[in-house]
Amino acid sequence: MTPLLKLSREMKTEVAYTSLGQGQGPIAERMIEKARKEGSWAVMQNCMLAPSWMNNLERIAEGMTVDTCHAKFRLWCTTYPTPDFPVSVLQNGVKMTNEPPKGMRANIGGSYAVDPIGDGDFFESCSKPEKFKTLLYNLCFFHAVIQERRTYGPLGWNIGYEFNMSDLAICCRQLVGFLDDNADIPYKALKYTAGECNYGCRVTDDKDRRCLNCLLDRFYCAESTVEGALLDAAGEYVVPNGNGDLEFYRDYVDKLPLVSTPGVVGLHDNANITKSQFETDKVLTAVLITETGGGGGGGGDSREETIERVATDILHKMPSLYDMEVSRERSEPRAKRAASEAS
Amino acid sequence: MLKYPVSRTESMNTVLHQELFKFNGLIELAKKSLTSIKKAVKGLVVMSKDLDGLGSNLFFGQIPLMWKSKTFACLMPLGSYINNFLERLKFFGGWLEDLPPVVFWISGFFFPPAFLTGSKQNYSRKYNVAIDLVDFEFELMNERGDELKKKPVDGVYTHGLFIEAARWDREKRVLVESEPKVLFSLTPVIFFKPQRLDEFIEYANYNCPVYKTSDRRGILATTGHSTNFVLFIRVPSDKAETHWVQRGCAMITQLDD
Repeated sequence: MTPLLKLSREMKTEVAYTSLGQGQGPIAERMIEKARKEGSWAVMQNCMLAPSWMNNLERIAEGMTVDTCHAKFRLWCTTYPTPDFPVSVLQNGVKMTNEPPKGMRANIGGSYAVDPIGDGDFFESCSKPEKFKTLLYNLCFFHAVIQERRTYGPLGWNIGYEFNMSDLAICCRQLVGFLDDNADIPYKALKYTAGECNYGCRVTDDKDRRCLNCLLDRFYCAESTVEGALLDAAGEYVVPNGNGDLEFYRDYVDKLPLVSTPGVVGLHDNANITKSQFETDKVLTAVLITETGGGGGGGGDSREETIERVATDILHKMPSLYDMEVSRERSEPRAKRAASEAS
Repeated sequence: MLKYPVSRTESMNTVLHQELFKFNGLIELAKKSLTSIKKAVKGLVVMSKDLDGLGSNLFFGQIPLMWKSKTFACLMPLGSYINNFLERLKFFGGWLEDLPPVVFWISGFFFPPAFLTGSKQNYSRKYNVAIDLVDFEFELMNERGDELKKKPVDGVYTHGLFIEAARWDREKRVLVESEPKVLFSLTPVIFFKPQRLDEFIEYANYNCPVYKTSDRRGILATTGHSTNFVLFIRVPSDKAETHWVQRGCAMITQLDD
């Protein structure tokens, strides 16, 4: 959303936005209508949260023609992947996907490239620059670690959370605030806001939350905020000097290893195997979805014959049912049952 | 009847009864649906949408979606699933016909929490303590399952768990790093010992989550039980707990193949 607003300022166009959800439908419709007449932008955020409104969106989008719209009118929609999003809107629109960069180096580099960190003024805005820049680097590192863990499937996280740049952005802003307002670094508050609120609010599984806080402890602590402190067990990554400017950090990140080992995110080297299996599985499943079935085959049994053979085979193996009377007698003897029924 | 003295102190009979009930449901559904699909393939009955789905599942070697509401959690392909199913039936059949096993196959249960609660309940009734004040202590045994000939005085011996991202060192009796390229290893027999909460002693351990299947994610039911998570098992460790948390170390009741 932030880059979009920035773009609108550069393009000198007005932009209206709403986050979809209950009751937002009529507001959104008015917004689109207004933008269409006046030639401004309308942004529909989080379309996945309003599946019931998607039909209306489809209808509105179908009604748009070159004649009925102002030349500068644009409709933007943001959504997570969802089957509810109308196909016709997708097919007629320009699609952009935003995925976290792969690998530690690209991910940290990405954090330093965009707002708010990529904004030079923000970067120098803290009254304790050295502490701030060090903690900021650690925060970006943490951000990269938890996103990188997603590539390991259930081994990394029980549930694949969509951590994103807005989590990082709010943590950065709070970091400036907390450092400006306190003489000492308030680690407890920093950990709570990051681990329980910003990133933590996405984490619904208690085992994942335990893991998230463990990881956060590695980066938000006094030992890890001095230059040269190790950020992973193998010592491949260390905390850089806290006095550089934005360019210094960007150069520093560029020199990080291209490929990271599972150890950086806290996993065993074996996790590489798990990761490859997980990725292969994902790719092949995606390929299979595009296959509409039918075709192929040939040779061997026909489909019907195979089904019949498998069904017969399993049926042969199925034993008769357990005698529930025997087991019932044991768990609750008839004498007792009769007594309780009589009473 | 002599093998099973009816008594208030044997909650396991109820556990067995409930498990058998669920297995009977699954056997019945399997038999009925398989008979129907055979008829449908021949054109004797109408090929409904459900049956057509069952047909493709059988053809592609997947666990039938139609059985989903009645089956135990499992990620295996059809062949392994059926073998696993039969293995479970054999385990419970043996228990029903003969004596309760000395070492329970914890992976065989539809609902392991019931089995564990049963064991706790036996303990609390025997010693007259509230069940809320009882919890499990764990011991990873050096003896193999077939070397244990007598059931423990209190609690249960279990086998069948696998551990991911770590392994158990029998000599040092602590959790250690996995061998290279070995993703899962079998845990030894685990002794679930019910204890009063005030009897617990502290030691360096990792609170290791146990899941039914390797995809780990589960859905919480209103009873507070997850569809996948079973319980935490404390495992002695000479490394900090945070180390194993970051390793993503967990136990599962079954592998995927």
